[in-house]
Amino acid sequence: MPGDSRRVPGPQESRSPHFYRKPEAHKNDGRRQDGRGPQDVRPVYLHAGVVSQATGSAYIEMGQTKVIAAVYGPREIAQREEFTMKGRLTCEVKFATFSCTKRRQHIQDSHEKDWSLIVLQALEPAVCLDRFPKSQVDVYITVLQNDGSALAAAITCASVGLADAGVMMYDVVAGCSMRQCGDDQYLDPSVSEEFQHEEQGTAEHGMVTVGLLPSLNQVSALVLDGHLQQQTAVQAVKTCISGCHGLYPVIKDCLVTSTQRNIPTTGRQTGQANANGRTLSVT
Amino acid sequence: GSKGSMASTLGVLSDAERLFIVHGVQDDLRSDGRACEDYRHVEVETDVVSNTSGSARLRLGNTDILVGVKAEMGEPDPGRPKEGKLEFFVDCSANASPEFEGRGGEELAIEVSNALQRIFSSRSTLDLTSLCIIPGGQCWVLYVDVLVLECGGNLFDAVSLAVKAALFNTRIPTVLVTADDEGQQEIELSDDPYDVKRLDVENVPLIVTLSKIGH
Repeated sequence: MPGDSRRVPGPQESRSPHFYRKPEAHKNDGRRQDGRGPQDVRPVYLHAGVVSQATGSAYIEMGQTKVIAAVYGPREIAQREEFTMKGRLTCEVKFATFSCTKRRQHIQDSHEKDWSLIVLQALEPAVCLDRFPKSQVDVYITVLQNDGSALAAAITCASVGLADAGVMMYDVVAGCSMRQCGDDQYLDPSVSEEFQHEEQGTAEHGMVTVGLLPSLNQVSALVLDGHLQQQTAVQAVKTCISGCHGLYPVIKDCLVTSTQRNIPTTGRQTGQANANGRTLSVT
Repeated sequence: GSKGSMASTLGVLSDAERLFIVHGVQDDLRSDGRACEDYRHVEVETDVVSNTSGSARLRLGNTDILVGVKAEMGEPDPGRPKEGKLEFFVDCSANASPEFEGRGGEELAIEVSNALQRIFSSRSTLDLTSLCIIPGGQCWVLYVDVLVLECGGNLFDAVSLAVKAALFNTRIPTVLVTADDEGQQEIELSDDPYDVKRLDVENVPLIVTLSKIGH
């Protein structure tokens, strides 16, 4: 690991106390560890317009998972020699160093780069790229706290951020994860339920994350970790899709609320543009 | 399948060409004469690089992949003391395409690398416990290095085939763990170069890429 001369480095040989903890016993009464049913998702809090300096932004809480996304653009494309009739979308996902049980590196590692690519592939089909030629829109996502389903939360949060930025889109993108544990399906897994690559016998184990454009009913992202039988995998994807549809009213409600908040009050204040001087497009 | 940065290597198609391809696909005929579900000719050769523990070279049409596996001893993951490790590195060399010059091929290489990491993350693919030497102390770390010599399309499929062949070819020296007088554990490598163990690659997955053209 190359040294970073700007920061005071921590000790190289430190280890998380997590490894010395005894593994928790799983409850077997059909309920999950936090008392949810198998198809219950955690309560979602979604708020658009949280970063004042960004063109658009959003913050999502799914249970204890907290993700924030900031969108900048459309602005001049980074490589000025490239002329494209289509705009460019970039995406960067980063875990805060304190977000997971084990402290993460401050430099983006391969896992985060992988997720950046997945979220980019999830968002691109939804954005009208031909509306901003020779420009790019940058999406920066930070996972502040990871309690499971962070990828799904990142996808949802980023698309709400894009909508908040006024970037023209065909549809929002809703993300949902589920965990397959043998014959059991757990929607919206928390971090203790997430696929940990543990082999428990030869039963099927895996985790599926889906990014869906709800009103077009098109899947833009599909990630499967682990190993599942063909029928199980198909059923898992269907479960995730229904989870995404369930999230759609929450997204709509959030965007409507944030638009209403940004409409300047009429009367004495006519002629005064709203604070950011921009219009919001709501489909 | 994945689009990634592959589209830029093909150049721009005219509308007439695009229509020709779409119409051909509707009749189960692709532009090189294949049916929609046909693969190109595959050639696999193992044991091609002498300095490695295992190697393979694969040609799939115009795609040429070289994989070298080096087995080294290292420390296991603290969370998995009884397992060895698999590390992947993909290099899209500048030979493959002029676009890969310098850092151009890095994005694609990372994408392939991540795909390999993901498919091998499931424990059912390879029995990593067979790579353990001293639980919690020493284990075999297999460095799987993929070199893309020529990029003629369908990179993911070709890479997964080549990796499977290289792992099949991998020979891991047999080690003997003895406890000496002070109770310290000593590792001894067998003198016989043919005293090796092989990996069971039966369940190593293969990637299949599909592309949707037209309806």
